[in-house]
Order: sequence, then C-alpha cells, then structure tokens
Amino acid sequence: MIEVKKLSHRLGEKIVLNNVDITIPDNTIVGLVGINGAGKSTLLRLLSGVYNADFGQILFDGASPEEASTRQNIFFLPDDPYYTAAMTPAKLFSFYKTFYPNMDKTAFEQLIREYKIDVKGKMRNFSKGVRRQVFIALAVAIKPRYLLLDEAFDGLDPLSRKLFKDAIIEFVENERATVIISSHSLRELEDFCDRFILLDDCQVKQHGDIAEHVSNFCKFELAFTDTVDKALFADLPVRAIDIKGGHFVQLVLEGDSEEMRTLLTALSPVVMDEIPLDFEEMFIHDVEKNRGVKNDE
Amino acid sequence: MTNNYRAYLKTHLRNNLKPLLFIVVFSVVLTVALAYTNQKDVLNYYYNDKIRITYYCTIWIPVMILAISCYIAPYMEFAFFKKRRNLDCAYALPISRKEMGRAHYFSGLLTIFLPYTLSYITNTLLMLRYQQEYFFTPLIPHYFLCLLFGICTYSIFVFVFNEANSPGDGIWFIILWSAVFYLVLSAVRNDLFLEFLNKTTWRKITSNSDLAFVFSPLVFISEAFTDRVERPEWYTYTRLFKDDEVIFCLIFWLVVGIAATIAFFKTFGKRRMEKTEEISDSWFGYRILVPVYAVAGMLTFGSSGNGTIILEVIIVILALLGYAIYRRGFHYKKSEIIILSLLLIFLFI
Repeated sequence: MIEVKKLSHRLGEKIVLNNVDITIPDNTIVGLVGINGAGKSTLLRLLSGVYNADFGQILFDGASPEEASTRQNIFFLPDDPYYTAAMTPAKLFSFYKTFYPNMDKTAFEQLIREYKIDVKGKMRNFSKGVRRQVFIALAVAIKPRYLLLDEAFDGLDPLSRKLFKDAIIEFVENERATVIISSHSLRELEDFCDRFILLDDCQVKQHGDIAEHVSNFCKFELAFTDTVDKALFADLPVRAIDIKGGHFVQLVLEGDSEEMRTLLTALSPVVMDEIPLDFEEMFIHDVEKNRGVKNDE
Repeated sequence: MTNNYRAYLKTHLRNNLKPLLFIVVFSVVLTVALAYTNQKDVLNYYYNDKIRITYYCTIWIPVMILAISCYIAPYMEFAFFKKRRNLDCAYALPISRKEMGRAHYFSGLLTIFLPYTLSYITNTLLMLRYQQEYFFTPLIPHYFLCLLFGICTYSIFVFVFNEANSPGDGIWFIILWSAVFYLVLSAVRNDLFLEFLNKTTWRKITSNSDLAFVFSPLVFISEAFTDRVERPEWYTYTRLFKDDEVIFCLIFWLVVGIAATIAFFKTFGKRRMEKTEEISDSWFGYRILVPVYAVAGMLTFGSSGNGTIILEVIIVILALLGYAIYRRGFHYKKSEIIILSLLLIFLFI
C-alpha cells in the first residue's frame, strides 16, 4: 500500500504540490491525471525517491522511498529515460539486472520480439516510441511491486499501446503489483485503470474508482420548443451545461441517471436522450468546476 | 558496502573502461614523447674544472599528467549528475546517493591513479636507460607524495564541481578555485589593508604567493626531489621556495584537500535534484568567486597595485561577464549591482 501524507513540495519558489493526501491500495492500476504543470511528474518523482519531499511523508508498505532498500521494490520510468550512446536493449537489460537480480529475461525478450525491436540495435538510433517500448519491456521484466510510469503512452502507436496495456494488465494480475500511470490519453487510461487521481492547482481534487466516478454522473441532450436559458436548470445538480441556439441543451448532471431523467421530464423537453459520458469528459468538467470554484472565491 | 553498491561500481567502471584506457594510452605516449625529447637535451656545466654532461631530470612529466587528470576526472565522473534526465533514472535505482557518489569518486581516483602510475613507470624506465647517473631511490617517496597531493587536488575539484548545477559552471568553478588563493595572497601582499597584521609572520607565509596555487604542492615536491635525484655533488639546484613556506603550503593544501573530501561526502547525498540545470547559486561558486576575483584583481593588477587603469577597466568588464555567466544573462541582483558599483567607485578613485 502507498500512503502519501500531507505532502508538499516546491520547485524553486513555486509550490507544486500542497498538502497532498492519498492512499493507494495494492494490486491496482491508477491513472494519474491533470493538466500540464499540475504536478504529476513531480508526484511520480517524489514517489520514486528521485525528489525528497519538502514536507510530509510517502510510505510504501511503511517504508520511505528515500531509502535505497525501499526502491528495490519500485521501478520508475520517466518521460525521457536515460541511456548512454553505446547502449543497446541487451546492455540495458544487463545494467538493470545488476540492481534487480530477479529480472525476467523471457518476459523481456518476449516483449522485445512482439515490438519487433533489434535487441542489439543502438538505443540512440531508435525513435522515441521504440525507446519507450524497450523501457516498458524492461519495466515488465523487472517485475517491481510498484511500477511508476510517466507519460506512459507518449510516442506509442496504437498497436504498441494495445501491447503495452495487455502487458501491464497481465503483469498486475500475475505479480499483484501496483501501477501508477500518468498520461494525457485519458481514454487509454479509462480502458485499463481501476482508479484515478486528479491533480489540479497543486492538490488532489478527485480520486477514487474510475467506473464509480463516471457512474455518479450522467449526460443528456434535450430539445425545447421555447427558448431556454440556464436559469431553467438552476435547481438541478448541473455539472456542465451547453445551450445552442436557445433550444438545444447538453447537460452533465451529478446523480443517478433515472432520478435525473425524472427531474428533466418535469421541464417538458420535446426530445430527451441520455448519451454516454467518458472519463475524458469527466476530467474536463472536473477541472473546469475546480477552476470555477477558484474564480468564484 | 551493499551488493547494489558493488554492482553499480562494477558497471560504472566497465562503462568507463574505454575513456580510461584512452587516457592511459595517451598519457604513456605523451610521457615517452616528452621524456625522449627532454632526456636528450643535455645540460653542460663545469665541476672541478672538468666539463660534466648530464640530462634534464624528467620527473615533472608524470606529475604534469597527474595535474591534467585532476581536471579531467571530476568532469568525467560527475558531469552525469548535472542532467535531470540522467538523474530521473539514476536516483530511482535501489542504491543510495551517498554510495553512488562514493562509486564515482573512487572511479575518478582510478582516472588519476592509472595514467599517473603508468606514466611514472614509463618515465622511470626511460630515466634508467638515459640517466643512469641519477639517484633513483627518492623517486619512491616522490611518487607517493605527488599522488597524495594529486588526490587532495582531485578532491577539491570534485567538491567544487559538485557545487555547480551544470557541467559548464562546474568547469568554471574548478578553473576559478585553482587560482583563487593565489590571487588573494597576491592582493594581500600589496599590504593595502593588512597593516594591522604582524608583518614578519605574515610576510613569511605570504612572501611567495606562487605557493597558493592549487598545484603548488606538486611543483614544490617535484622541485625538491629533482634536487635529490640529480647528483648533488655535480650540481646545486637553486630552489625556488624556502622550507617554512613549503611546509605551510603542504599543510594548507592537505587540510583543504581533507576538508573538501569530507564536505563532498557529507553534501553529495543531500543535494536537491531539483536544482540540477538551474543557476549555480552555491556559496562555493560565482557568488563568492566573482567578487573575490574582482577585488583581488583590483588590488593586484589595478593602478593602486602593480598595474594600470586599463587593467582595472578590464577587471570590471570581467566581473560583469562573470555575473552574466552566473545569471545566464545580463540581469543582475541588487547585491551584485552593489559590488559592481563599488568596483566602479574604486576604479574612479
């Protein structure tokens, strides 16, 4: 279990994380989301022990990642990982094997084969996506108890993304590991993450089960014969509203969809359709809501 | 010593093998070339009315290689820690930063030890071939003493290099620290502001500011041992430095070397990775070095010292440039503007 308690961190004069509290249970895949500069990479660096926290505590099964022995169970794959000019996937494997003696060569070779990568090719000659694939294969082969991935899908083509997601799901199932992935591809995260953490304005604004979070909201498309404005929906738990031409309304409401349907029927729309709501939309609405609250203040 | 430390050191040494081999081979080739050229230069003089011929003693060649290695090794070993991208991977590894620093420090010691030792052996073999009339026993203490002060110099450079947040700043710190004491002593010797000190004692220590250069111990030791290697009854070498000056110099640099080593091991593991690639604002960097160089430069080379007003103008310009390198642009802080203003006032006075 990962426990983050009252974590605050500055980069220079700027506060990047402020009083962050999260608990991440074992054997889960967590999507770390937030707009650019929200503090995702900083949080991952703090979790991996690359940064030492200014205030607060991070504990992996009760031990700090600042201790080298704790990091034996953690593997952090940064956005742009380091490799030397002469490094090949095979050499990279040997290098990491010195620190993680239980690395699974078969798993590494299998993924490298699936990605169709030359194991003796120079890393510097590979594209960014291919380099990322090599590191993903390494991460899976290391079999850490905690896997931290920054911008995991960056540079991966659709097929590689699928292979990557399959590998991660299989890895979590087999090893009962915990994976934290930061990404801007929220649709990709929704596919295979159990939980999410939304960082905004230096804090954790939302976190929890993705499916549960999305199911707390519903989205409707309505049409009215008369012109309508926002005031008509003032009594409803509106999360987002978009009125087009005065007659067509798209609404995101917080609450059970059946209950909302009953409330909306009372407004006498001529057309009412419930449309699916995905995680990315939820993310946008969550961030906009947070911004709205801040502006109101 | 953890298994991961051993594994890291092993991997690091393996990765460094090629550049290290290159340096070793280059050092040996350079030694052969220089020794062969210099040992063939004869020195003629009269002793008991008879002309005697001997060759120049070349024990300075491996010492010169040692000095060069002291500059190269810190960059080779620690430039890696000046890039965020590298640290993202390195600091996430299951090895403590302290152990990582130790591994790079010891690997750097090899970078100074191997080229120096092989150069020394090569040079000694050539001396045995061409300079058989010399005494060779003093070479043993000379080798070890130079190595000791080479390690001190390396440690000083490692510490100051690691006070920088970028490799470029690290190189500047090494260069500036090489001569900072030399310049300060030169300024002090002008007696402009040290009237209150006991001049006799002070003069004794500061009478030769050449001893305050970072490589002064190597120069002194080599000079003293050249005297012992060459046959004393043939030739009396006019030594540059007096014994009390030299003892002070050796003790001073030994203390600085030990202090730098301790400071490096104490601070390396505690450095904030977030500062990497940022402006190097350490107190061991530009913050102190630029004003010290400017003031000491004014006192030494300015019109009130031994120089001219043109040199003073050059010093002010260099101070401006120094701060520009520090700040990575021409935007100065209040304290720096004050220092520059004081320099300008000094200039016009």
